[in-house]
Amino acid sequence: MTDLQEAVLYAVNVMHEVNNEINDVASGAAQSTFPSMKELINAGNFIKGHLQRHTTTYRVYQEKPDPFKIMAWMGLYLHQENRTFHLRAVVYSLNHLLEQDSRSLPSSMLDKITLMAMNDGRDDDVAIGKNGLYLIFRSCHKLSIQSNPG
Amino acid sequence: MPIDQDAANALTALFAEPDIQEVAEEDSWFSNGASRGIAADMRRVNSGEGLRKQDREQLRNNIASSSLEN
Repeated sequence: MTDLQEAVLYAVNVMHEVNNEINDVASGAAQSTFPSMKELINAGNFIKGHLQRHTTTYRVYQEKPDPFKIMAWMGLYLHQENRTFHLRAVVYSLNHLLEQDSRSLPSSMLDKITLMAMNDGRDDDVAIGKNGLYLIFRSCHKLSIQSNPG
Repeated sequence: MPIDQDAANALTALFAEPDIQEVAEEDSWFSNGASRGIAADMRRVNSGEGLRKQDREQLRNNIASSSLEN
């Protein structure tokens, strides 16, 4: 399996795990439906195109695929295609990546990011957007590894 | 628990073509040892082992303390 395949599978598997936990813990609220295989394939096709456009536009050359990009872009796309897949699953999954390097955002910030991401495609003036969603977590990660190297 | 095997196979097939170039850059954060945590988690989650107990507990705390329902 290539690094990109591993990273895509990882992003989807984490979102799947987190989605299950949300449904388990918040059992009284509306359940979050994990996307179907068809929806995952559509999201995968979107990611391929967007990744290519991103790397061309910003002249980004990556040695390894960035799971923050894949998870943020894919997760927001999946939510927009199927609103029964809760955006919280995406935001908590991104926070899960931060936690792997011993950092985490407080729940209040995660709520705020979720609310702003919900407006993507609905009211873009007050939304964070897929690139903002990626970059906020990527920036937090960068700060965390600078302050906690090794 | 990972996604079902059919979905995993379909997704990985989609990214089988080496059409996204992977070459070195100054920001090669993932390979410079700065994110060994994520690399280890990737191996763990993709193997089917799932999230670590402490990660699951932290996640459940975050969910429980959230004021959102969606």
